[in-house]
Amino acid sequence: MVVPGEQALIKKVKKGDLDAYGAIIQDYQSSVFNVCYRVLGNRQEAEDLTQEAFLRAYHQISSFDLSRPFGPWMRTLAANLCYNHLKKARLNRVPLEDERDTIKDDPKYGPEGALEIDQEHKVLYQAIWKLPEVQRIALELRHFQGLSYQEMAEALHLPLNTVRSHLYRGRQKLAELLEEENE
Amino acid sequence: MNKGTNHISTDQIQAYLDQGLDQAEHQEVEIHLDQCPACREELSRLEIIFARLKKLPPLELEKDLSLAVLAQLREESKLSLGITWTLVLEALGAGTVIGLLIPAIRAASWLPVLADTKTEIQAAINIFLTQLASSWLVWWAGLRMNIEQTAKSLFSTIYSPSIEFSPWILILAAGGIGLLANYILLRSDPIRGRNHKY
Repeated sequence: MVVPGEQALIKKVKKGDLDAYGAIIQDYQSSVFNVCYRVLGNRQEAEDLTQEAFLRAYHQISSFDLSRPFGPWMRTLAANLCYNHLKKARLNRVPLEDERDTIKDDPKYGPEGALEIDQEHKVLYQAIWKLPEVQRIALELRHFQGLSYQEMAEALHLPLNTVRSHLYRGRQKLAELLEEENE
Repeated sequence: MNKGTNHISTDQIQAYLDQGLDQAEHQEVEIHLDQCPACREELSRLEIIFARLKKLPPLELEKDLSLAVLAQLREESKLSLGITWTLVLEALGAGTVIGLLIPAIRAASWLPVLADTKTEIQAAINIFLTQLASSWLVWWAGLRMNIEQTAKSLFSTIYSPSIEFSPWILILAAGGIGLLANYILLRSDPIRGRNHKY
């Protein structure tokens, strides 16, 4: 569903109005950051890629269909950007594994009351980051962005069966990792 | 249904949870799940994953990124204007160099040597060069006459002896224009000012 007022703002952005784009960024930066964080597992990198995603989106805004909501388009663009970044990092042998956040040090996941729930989320984040990147991105697009198999295939430029297979394996692997953690 | 077993595959259960089966398959899986505790267990194992992913809370973004993005976009738009003008100058410079180079090559001493040779390869090269040069020369001849006339009349009012415009002087002039265009290009370096890595 298109957010009221959003269409008018994007029309302005298409004409080069940067102030209108500033309003769009403020509305979506948090959700885009979360996409990047879930996929990358590193806060600083997630912030950098969030910025980069908004820069790319601005340059590609002419191709954006105004009859569709901006949020899913933006988040899918960000997810794809992060996926390509991870692939490139792997090829360049950047040791992303070592740089990934260990959420236990984040004060937002501190004690005070909901320790049990927070621990559960920490474990889940860590398990997600242990998945191969293609499985991680498949989970992101399906579970957090609600894309259909077909939409995922289009976003990742992969055949539908391949995407489905990555998603299924990702879930299986995630279940195994979480079970290992519970043992 | 898995071949050789009485259970449905995990993939089928996942497709069932994703609402990715057609009506007949969906019903078939449902009927099987009603009757099979092992497959029900697999289903609930996956349902737990679905539920945990759904419950994962978003993380708070600690800073406003809009200012940095907008600053970068403003910088880019300034740079792109500079680059456009630089490219125009570069194109002019390149055109001038090519325009000057052809008559210079024609005037150079090695070309007649090539024209006199009798081997087939050299003759083919000669034909190619001549055709290439002739098209430019037609254009260049008219232009050079105009430039020379204008320049000579201009210089003759300042200096009494007339100046000969050899191709080499013209090439030096074109090189100068190229260098100037490159200098402007380097000054408006598009990489400078971009603090993101990609």
